[in-house]
Amino acid sequence: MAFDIDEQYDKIYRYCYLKVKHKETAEDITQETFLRYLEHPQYSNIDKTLQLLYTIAGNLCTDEFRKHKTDELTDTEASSENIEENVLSDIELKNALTKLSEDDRELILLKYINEVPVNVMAKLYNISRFALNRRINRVLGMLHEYMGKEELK
Amino acid sequence: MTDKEKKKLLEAFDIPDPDRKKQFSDEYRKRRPEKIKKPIFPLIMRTVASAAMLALVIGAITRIPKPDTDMFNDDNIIETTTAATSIEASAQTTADNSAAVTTTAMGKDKSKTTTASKAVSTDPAKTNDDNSTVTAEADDPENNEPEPTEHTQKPARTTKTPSVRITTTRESQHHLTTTKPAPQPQTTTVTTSSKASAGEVESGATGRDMTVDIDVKYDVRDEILTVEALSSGNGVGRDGNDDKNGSDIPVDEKIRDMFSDSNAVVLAKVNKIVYTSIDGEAYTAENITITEVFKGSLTPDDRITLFVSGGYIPGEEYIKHHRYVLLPDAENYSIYDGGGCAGREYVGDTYLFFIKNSSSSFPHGSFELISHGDEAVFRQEDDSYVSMHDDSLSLEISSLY
Repeated sequence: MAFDIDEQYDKIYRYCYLKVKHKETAEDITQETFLRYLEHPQYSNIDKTLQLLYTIAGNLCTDEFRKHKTDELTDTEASSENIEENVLSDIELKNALTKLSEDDRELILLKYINEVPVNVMAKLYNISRFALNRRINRVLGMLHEYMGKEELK
Repeated sequence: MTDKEKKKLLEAFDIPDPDRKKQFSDEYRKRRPEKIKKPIFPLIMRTVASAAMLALVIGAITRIPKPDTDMFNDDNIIETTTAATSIEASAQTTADNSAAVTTTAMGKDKSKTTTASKAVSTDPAKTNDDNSTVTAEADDPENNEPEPTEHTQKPARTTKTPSVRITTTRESQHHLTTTKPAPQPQTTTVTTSSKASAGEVESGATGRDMTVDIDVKYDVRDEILTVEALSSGNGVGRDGNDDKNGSDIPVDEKIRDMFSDSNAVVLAKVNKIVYTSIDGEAYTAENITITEVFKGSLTPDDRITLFVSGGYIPGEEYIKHHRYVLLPDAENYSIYDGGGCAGREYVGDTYLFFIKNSSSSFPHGSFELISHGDEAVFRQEDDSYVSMHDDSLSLEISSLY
């Protein structure tokens, strides 16, 4: 099954940006992902297609991270590591998101924004679907709690 | 999640829009193959596998023994060799006969039919004595009593009968192809094995042992930290009572719901407690012996393994799955995770459990409580049983009958 390049480009780009936190690098990796995908046999199953795309993207991000491990990122965009220096909006959700770990943010992005199927995510993380659901529920619980604490302030 | 909520979430991530999307999309569409070809190799494999299965089925059907024909009334047989039918012995068959019939033409106008038959019996006491050689002579007015040939005198087992497939139990010692063991009282096939170890409370050994092996076991270290202590130190709040259910539902209705949700409701004694983890979450595996059954197919004296959320997990294991937690010298600590449980079970004590077959995350054949935490575990208090998690949830044992 062919996917919609416009839709998947955005999703893969978001996934890469969350990992590398650099706009240009994330776009480069996104495009590289799709080009590498073309080199593989084309799957008719959309789940396998998505799994392959995210696997390629994840591996490219890891390679990029290793390449620039000792370098400081000269990102033009706000880095999540400089939380205190960011101009924080009043949105409680944004504040709550920044308190999550990178892995947990990635989970939320994949599940609710990119709408990646649970079975594809489970294969990406190499855990069972039940474990994945438990993790998602836990992260949602934490988000809920952070947002609840913000409301009390 | 609605589109509005999704948009709000996306904005919260603060991800800038890509610049080169349109340009790349156009280029990609040119490069993408027009038609996605289905890979051929899997199709070939599927076809071959289907053909092989079909061949197996046809082969099995053709091997079904056909009804014996009456040879003695047929005068026209000159020479016939019939291979003995193969017999598939099983615990259910009681007796079967295979006949090897060899008829040789002894000479002009003479024929002799020898039928060697053997009975395959399920009785181990029966041996080759059951084999009998029946010699019959064809109707022939000029019969001159020819000598039987060696060929017709051969005992049944040399008639090249395909070896009988014997279903043996572990007790079987027989090797004869013509007999198979008598049906022994079959033990229930168990998919798990139990290992009684030191420290386990001995219980009646008459029931089924359905406990499972635990691959990962943790000892409790001297230094213990709770998850709450870790979380408060790291700015991450976590409520141990995250499974507190609303108390609006009447107790009777709640108990009924719990009964209905359970695969089994049992009174059981805890024999052994092992601390382990499933997918990075602390769990306690409890080997319990059933003393009374109120629902389900378990029987008294059965021994099962029950997984309860919460327990002790080594510090280094905990931080592996909780990266936001900072814990120097983690290997010196055990982390106690309540897992939504308000109390703890003790070895030697008896509790009322509402349980269900565990999900695929847990070892096959084990059980888990019907809900997270220990609401579904009841301890005895005087004449009634009270939930470990909620004192207001209590029941009389008689109500379960």
